[in-house]
Amino acid sequence: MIILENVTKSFEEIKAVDQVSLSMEEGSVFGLIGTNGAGKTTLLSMLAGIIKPESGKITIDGKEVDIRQGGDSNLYFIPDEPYFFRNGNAMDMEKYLSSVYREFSAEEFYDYLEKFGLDKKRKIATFSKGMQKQLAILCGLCSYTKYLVCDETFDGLDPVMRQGIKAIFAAHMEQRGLTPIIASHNLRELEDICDHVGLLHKGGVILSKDLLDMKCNIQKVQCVFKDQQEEEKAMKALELLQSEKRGLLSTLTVRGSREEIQEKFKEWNTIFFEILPLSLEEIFISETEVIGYDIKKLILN
Amino acid sequence: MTLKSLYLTDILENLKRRAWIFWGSFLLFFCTYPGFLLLNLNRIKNSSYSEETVKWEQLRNVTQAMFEVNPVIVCLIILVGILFGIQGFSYLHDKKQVNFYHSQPVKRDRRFWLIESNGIGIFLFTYLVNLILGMIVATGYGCFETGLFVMAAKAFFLYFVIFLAICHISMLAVMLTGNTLVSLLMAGVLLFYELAFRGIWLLYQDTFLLTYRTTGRELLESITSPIMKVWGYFLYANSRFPWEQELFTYTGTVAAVTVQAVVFGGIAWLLYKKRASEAYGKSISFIRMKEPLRVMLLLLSGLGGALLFYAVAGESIVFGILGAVFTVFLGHVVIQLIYEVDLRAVKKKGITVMLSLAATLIICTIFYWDPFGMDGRLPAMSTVDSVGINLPGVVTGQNQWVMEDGQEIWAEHYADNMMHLTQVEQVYEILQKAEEVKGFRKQKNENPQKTYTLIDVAFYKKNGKKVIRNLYFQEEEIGKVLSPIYLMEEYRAVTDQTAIEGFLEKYQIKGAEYFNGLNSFVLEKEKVKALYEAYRKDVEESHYEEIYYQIPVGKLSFKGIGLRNPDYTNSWEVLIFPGFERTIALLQKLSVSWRAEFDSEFVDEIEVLTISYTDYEVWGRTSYRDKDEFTKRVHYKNRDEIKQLLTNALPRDNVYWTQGSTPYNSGTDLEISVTRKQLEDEEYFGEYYQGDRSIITEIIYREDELPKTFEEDLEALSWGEEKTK
Repeated sequence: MIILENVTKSFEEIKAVDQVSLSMEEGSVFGLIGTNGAGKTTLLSMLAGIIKPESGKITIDGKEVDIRQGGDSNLYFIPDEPYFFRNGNAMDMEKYLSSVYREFSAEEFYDYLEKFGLDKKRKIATFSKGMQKQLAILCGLCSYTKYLVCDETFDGLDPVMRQGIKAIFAAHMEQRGLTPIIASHNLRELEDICDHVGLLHKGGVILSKDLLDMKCNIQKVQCVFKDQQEEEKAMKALELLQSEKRGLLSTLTVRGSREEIQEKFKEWNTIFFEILPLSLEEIFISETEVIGYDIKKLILN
Repeated sequence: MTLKSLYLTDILENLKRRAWIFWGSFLLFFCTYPGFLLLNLNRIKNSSYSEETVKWEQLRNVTQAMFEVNPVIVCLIILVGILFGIQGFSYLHDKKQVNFYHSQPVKRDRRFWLIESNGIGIFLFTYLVNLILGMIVATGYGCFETGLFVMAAKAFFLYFVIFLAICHISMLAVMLTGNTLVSLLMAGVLLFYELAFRGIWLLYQDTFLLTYRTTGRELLESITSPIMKVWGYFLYANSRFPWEQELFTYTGTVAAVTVQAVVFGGIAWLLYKKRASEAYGKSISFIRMKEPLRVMLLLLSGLGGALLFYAVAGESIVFGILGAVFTVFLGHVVIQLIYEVDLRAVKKKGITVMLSLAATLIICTIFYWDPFGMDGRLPAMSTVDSVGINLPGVVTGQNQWVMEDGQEIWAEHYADNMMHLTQVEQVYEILQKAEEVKGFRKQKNENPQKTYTLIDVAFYKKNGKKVIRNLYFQEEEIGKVLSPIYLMEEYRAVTDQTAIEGFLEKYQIKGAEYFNGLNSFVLEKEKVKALYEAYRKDVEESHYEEIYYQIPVGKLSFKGIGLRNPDYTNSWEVLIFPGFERTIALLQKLSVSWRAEFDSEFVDEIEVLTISYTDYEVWGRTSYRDKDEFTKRVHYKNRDEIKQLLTNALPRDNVYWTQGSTPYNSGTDLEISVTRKQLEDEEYFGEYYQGDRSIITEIIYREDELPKTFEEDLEALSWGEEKTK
């Protein structure tokens, strides 16, 4: 488990990370969301042992991160711009990483290279940006560390590749308990992979919640009431987060479990009602509006 | 896998990353040793020398030069050290590489020692392999002797510590900065700042403090620069003078540079552990260092600028201040551009700039006004081991001493370094009588008729260092004041007045020559002993206060065949003063005209002229007018008048100009010369002498003996006019 306690980091006058406290459970996918300049990269760099926090503490499986000790041996960091040896190829990377990460699986690495169509002898400098990102991810996966930290790693991949990588992540999670920590500014990207999500804004954590809990406790209901009175009765009885009406059709975002909401609506006189799935974006908008943030301004589509 | 094998694996991986450094270093040393030797030894072997021995001598010289401590190879080592130091940790300047390496589970310590040991390993391997290859090449040409092996080993150890020191300084530069260009600048600052500051400080002393004189050797006392240590070794390790040898021994140099290497390496290691990864791209990686570094650099530029402007503007204090202001601000602009890469940032840090300027001006003021009385202050007596003084006016400065190693050096250099008067208290008592420096400049300007003589005094301190001071003595008192020193045994042992015994012992004596300023007289070998005895006794009984104010009547040169070159005759010259009665009596007995007297029979004409230099400077140069238009000239050809005018005339020759500042023809602008009949050529001591070395000889008179006729006759002429009498 990774725990961050009141971690702060400033660069001269700019506070990049401000009193952030988070925990990242093993065996689950943690998504770190935020706009550009929110502090995601700084946070992850501190996690990886690259940057020293100004204050606060970061522990990985009970051991405090210390830059003098280098990164944790259970953690592999894939930055947004990965580094490869000048004039080097995939084989060179494998040999080097094998010397650093003792569990590195060369066999699996070359197997993946073949599946992804990456030539092991070709100079990495001649790879496209997307191919380089693929290679970086493969290097990380094959290092067989417990935690894999990815900083905007998926952003340069095509949709097919993204699905492929997600599938490999899932396989590793199942087989060996890999814990990915993925940073992105794209909510839709993380929706189908993350178990837990943290939202950063201007260096601080706005929200950190389990995605399933969030989804289970918020429902989107489209309904048409028979009359106004019935509608008003329903509005009072529900824990309403958001409502929108177009003609007779009301779209409500309410807190509560699906079963609870269903039971309630059965009691009322409605022409029809339907409980719809919420996207991560819709959940965030609702949750953050309660706190007081206009999330639409924070999250770029 | 064991920990050791893991480390070796890491070493190999790091080596792969530094392959170009490895091959570059290998190629460089290959060209230096086997390459250079192969080409040159082959060239010499194939060249046509008249004698085989000369060829072998050449081969051995070239071989020896390559395997002993060689300054060119030292320069290459320095270059290699900078390259290794900068390259090894240059990854710190690149964001991607920092993220890559620092996120790995490798301790900083381990990574540091990995890069360090790899660098050392690459250097040792590439150097030693090529050294051995060079030895093989030399052996193949038959030039390699066992002694060279020891020489090569000595050279290797020195090169190694130089490499380490320079490499560590460069590494430190990388730790302190965020990009390669600034690293190189920082390396330059680390290597040369202290040296530059010392140099400027010494220049200030020389410029503003009358009694201070630097020799340049003070720069070698630099603490932080390995280059100075090595340079000192090259200059002085084989010095003829024991006190210099002791300062710059091989062991001492190796030890000093090793300490520097360890200290800089240690600091680099500590900073590496502390360095923030996010410092890449910044000019200075440790923010707290920025301002102290700025102040240091501004101080240096301000002091340098102030002195430069002061000197160029003709010692103007106003321009000196302007120079300080200008260079401090210029320095600030440059530093801000390096720090911020933004011209707008020049407006910042005004307070620091002002403080730096204030510090600069305070230091300038301290030197200019000398409120603490630095000028004239002698080193504390308790710290001084011995003192060296060269008394003016008693020697010719033309003699060469033969050292124990058979080499010859000028007598003044010998005296400068070998004179050690150990009666320090007595010497100090004498030196305290020098002119007070405070107000000296003013006093000198207000009383131009009062003359002073400057003497250099060397203080050999107990810590081995030599410090030189200039002391001023009044011309009319110097003879009496310094007389006790003239009588000291330790003084006499190193001046050429009494040291000619060594010359007479070591050279094959041919004879002697006496020159009275006008004519030379040859004296046979058999007369030398008697002449020397007479001269020696005269010197023993002489007193400085008499000699100093006397004009020598002539010069006695003892001639001998040199040790090194049997085809060349060496001379040992001594001055003969009027008080040297024994010597003069003996010369008279030997029919030598010991005093110069112009024989009017040998003079055809006396010419006297005067030039209006002021007018010539104004009109002559600008309008290309002839100098003759600004000259008045009189020619005397009447035999009786010539005879009359030559009474008390003295030849203007170098014999007379070794004396102090006794004025001749002073207060006049007269140039007086005689045209003499050519005398016969002569040959003696194996050398050819033209009978009359100059047909036209300048003559001079003591001030009160100058014939009034000259001035009267010139007065009657107009400018540009010429007359013959």
